Amino acid sequence: MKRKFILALIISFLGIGVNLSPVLAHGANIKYESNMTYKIEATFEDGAPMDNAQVTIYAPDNPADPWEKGLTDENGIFYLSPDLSKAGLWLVQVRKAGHGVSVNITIDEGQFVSGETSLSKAQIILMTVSVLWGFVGTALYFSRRKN
Amino acid sequence: MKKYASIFFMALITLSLILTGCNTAVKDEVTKDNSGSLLFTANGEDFVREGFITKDGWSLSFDHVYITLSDITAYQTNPPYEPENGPEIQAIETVILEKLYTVDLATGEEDAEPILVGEVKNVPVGHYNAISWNMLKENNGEFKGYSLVLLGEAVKDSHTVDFTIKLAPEFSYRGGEFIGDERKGIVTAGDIGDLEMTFHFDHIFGDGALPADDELNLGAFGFEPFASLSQDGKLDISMTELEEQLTAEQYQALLKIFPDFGHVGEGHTYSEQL
Repeated sequence: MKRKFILALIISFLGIGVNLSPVLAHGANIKYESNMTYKIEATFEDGAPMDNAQVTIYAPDNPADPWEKGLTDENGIFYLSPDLSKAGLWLVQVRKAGHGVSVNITIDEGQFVSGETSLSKAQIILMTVSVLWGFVGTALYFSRRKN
Repeated sequence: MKKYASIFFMALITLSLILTGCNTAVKDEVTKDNSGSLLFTANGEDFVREGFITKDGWSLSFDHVYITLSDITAYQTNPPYEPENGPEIQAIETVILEKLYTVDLATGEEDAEPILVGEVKNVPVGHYNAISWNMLKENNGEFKGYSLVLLGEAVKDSHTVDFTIKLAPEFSYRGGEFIGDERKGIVTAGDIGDLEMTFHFDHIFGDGALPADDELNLGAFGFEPFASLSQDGKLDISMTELEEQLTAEQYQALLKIFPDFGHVGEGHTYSEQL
């Protein structure tokens, strides 16, 4: 009788444990990574903006092929959001009407930071087992007291 | 027991020999493949190849444009060289094309490639992101004593001038990264990279396609001062004669062109008169 009672308790708590999983799955999590935008402003020597000028960006891991191409706006401005995981020297070239200018931007190691707040599968399993064992232990304790 | 021991040691020796041989082969391969070639080119751009209209309305076409260059040097620099900061180039690798070279920038058809000046083989791989060169007087031949000789025809309205203009400015130019349609100076193992010395002739004559008050045209010399010295549709004039026949103001305006004459694509250079 006592054994049947303990077994019934264990089975019912296992059922609770299984139902915990969908509850945990509906939880929220956050992923994050660093992001940086550079404002590139190009002007001619007389100070006039290089509007609608060709912009070519080269990343440090592939110096031969453009990473991005675009145009400056009417104020000679272009916004660059480099991939911070590619550390090293980035090259920005701006060209218009036979005039050209370039600048190197350094992205340091460690500027790129990323992470995530959600629980891993191992953490979920461990939590479930711990809760279940807590219930089992409690049931065993009280069943021994009755005897 | 002794038999097995001897077999073991023979196998060990054989294995050692095999491994040593492999390492040597790999090392040789690494050494041989760690270099490439670097080409140096000169470019007068479409202004020279196709001709153009000057700021003062003369339509120029060139038969020959001889330029004399020396001490052509490519650099891998760290940090990257910025000509606005002066002449110092912090080079970690240097490649020099020795000797004096005179090339004709007008060679070839309208769609011709930049003119090959020379090649250096077995250069270390890497990115050559800076270049320097001197424009010097030729030391022999028909145009001895001149660094830049222009031969061609100028037409305006009903007037035609066949010109040979022999100039002698001597300047050093130092440029950073080439600014153009593609990135230059990248040498990979067993492959060829190239660097270009660019010469902007619109800085000498101006550009009729731009407004008269454009900064380029305001600083350019034009062709009219040359045309005014022609006789019977012919002009054959040297630097010395220009100094004698132009006004002092005109001659100084001509000299002021050359510091901005050398470029790396559309990128500026740091220049010094020699």
